[in-house]
Amino acid sequence: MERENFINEILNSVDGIAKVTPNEVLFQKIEQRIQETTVSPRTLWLVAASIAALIALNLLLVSGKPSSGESEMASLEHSINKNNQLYK
Amino acid sequence: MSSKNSDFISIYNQYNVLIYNIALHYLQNVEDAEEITQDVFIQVYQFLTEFKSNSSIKTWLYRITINKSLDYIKHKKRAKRFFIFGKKSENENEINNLSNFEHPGIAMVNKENARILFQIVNELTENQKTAFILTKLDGLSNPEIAEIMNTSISSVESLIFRAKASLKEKLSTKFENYRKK
Repeated sequence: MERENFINEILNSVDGIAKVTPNEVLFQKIEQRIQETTVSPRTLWLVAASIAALIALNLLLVSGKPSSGESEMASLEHSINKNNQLYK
Repeated sequence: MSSKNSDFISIYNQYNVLIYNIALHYLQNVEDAEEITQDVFIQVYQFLTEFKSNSSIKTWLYRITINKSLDYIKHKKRAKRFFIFGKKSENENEINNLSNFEHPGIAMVNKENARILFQIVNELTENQKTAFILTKLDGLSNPEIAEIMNTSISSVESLIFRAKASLKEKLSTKFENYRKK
């Protein structure tokens, strides 16, 4: 009987448990975390524009620069044509 | 204000108490319950536009909260195990405080008995614990619990029956131990 009473007392200890309201600032914390995880459209555009600019710059450099082999040949031709002397 | 934001605020106002209390039932700690509540609503915000009303929004919220609470408990257990068997955590107090019982919804006169009850409830399997919490603490009907747990009503009845049997058995053992002291 004592055992049954003990068990029932424990099992019934949560009867009538009250609903608890969370802290008022909880919503502000949630809003803050949402803002931190959300990327604004302006930031997205800035990142996309930066990447596009980098790619464009690289393409420009690659297309405008002569190959090193050609420049060495051109300079050798120039020096030979100048004096027609291979050996000094 | 966008319709997504106004929908979100409306959901928060309607369900924040529900979600917070479910988390409290699982975690029995105010700080942890607040953390879980935040996590739940952030997920709600992220997936609000994709939510398909196959089930009600209340069922959806229950499921997210229960899953996040159970994941948090598993994470706590892993952290505790590391503390016991490995290097001591830098924040030893934090690990110790994880086991502090704190449920503001319980009357002072019942606090000690409730602490014993939750200690044993925490030893149940996840499904038994969920079924017990939803029926005993949240007062949901078996069909409602079945929908949340995505199982049959007979499975819910079986889970509740086994949970109560297990609790009674463990409490009986506790009673014997108290008598021996």
